[in-house]
Amino acid sequence: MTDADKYWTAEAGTDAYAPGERLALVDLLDRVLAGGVVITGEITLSVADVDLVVISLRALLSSVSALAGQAASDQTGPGEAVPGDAVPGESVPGEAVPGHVVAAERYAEHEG
Amino acid sequence: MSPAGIIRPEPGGYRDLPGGGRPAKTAVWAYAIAGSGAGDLAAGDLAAGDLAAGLRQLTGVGGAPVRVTSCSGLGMLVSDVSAAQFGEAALRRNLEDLDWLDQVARAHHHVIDAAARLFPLLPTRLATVYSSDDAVCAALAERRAALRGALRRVGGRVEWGVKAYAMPESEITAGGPGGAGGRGGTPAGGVGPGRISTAEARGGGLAYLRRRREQLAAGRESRAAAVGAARALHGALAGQAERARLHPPQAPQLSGVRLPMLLNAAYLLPADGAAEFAAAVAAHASAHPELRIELTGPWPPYSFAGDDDDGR
Repeated sequence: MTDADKYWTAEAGTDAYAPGERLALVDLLDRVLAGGVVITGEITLSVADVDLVVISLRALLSSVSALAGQAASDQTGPGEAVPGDAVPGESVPGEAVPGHVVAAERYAEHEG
Repeated sequence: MSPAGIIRPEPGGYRDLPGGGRPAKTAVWAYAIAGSGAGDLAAGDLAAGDLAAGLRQLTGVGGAPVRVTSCSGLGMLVSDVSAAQFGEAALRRNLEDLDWLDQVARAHHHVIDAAARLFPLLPTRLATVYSSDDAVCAALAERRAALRGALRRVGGRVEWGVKAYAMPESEITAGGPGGAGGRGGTPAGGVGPGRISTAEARGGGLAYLRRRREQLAAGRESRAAAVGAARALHGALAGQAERARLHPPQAPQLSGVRLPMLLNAAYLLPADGAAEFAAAVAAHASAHPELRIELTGPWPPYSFAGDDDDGR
């Protein structure tokens, strides 16, 4: 058992947490790319560079997941989100505006 | 669980590996900063001997053993990496590769997570790479006071992640999964001006419009309720935590969750505060069926390590 196995992630309020579940990469990236102390190294990328990397990564991912999403929508199971449902807009790590406010407002724009 | 080829649990590091030996050109990858204690530990006094042994068993990004470089009363957890793969140009290129990033992020995290169980530390941001130990020391010396302050503030604490999504209306009212058919009122459902039936077009147009207006109003109401609940959730949890930080909402392409994310927050808590915090989150989850709430952790205090972080 690795240390990562000790992590758990769960829908709160359900009885059974799920130890050993693989850490979601997106939660990890939130922290290792946008968190952590920044001490300039000699050959380290600047913070702005890393943000650029993340943006282009997101662009890459959205094109990948558009394909994957099409495949998945053919076999949407019970309890799954509705394909094409409203989603909050893209945002960039390090954005100054509080996340939940941004999400809520974008959600409202989307649906309203 | 561990990405093969990146994290090798065997003690001894690369000296024992086939083809081992110091790579010709190396750079120094940083994981975390600790108080001088961590350096003393590596030098080895009593209880520290075990900790140092624990550290020695850790292999880092690229498979090299983790070590501590101490100077200015601070210790930096580092490992040697190949300059060919982790030099500036290569790093920039490799970070664009999702599989590479996945492996490196997990290896980076593995070291920080294991070390955080041994002593208080400040995680460093991914891809902090130095040309040599001397460069590490120069960086530590320059920021010594700020780093020590940050270490006092967050060292030994853990971070809990809380994400809240707006639950689809169908699942709130129907009380559970099963409504895969979609929720009323979405354009995808086929309800729209273009789809008005012949009957509605003749006499039911008004009725249709009224029904549609009611659907929209109900949707707005439940949205407002979910947003309000997310704000209340954050307020309550922040009040319970030492510090709180909001992350931008995650893109559904990355998270795989298509529900609108209303909250993506991190809370800093003492290491023994888990049960109480989880109970509070669970209570909010049952009180607010309009939200789907997820809890992750405990994490090393990534979100609170930066000195630009001004708390809540």
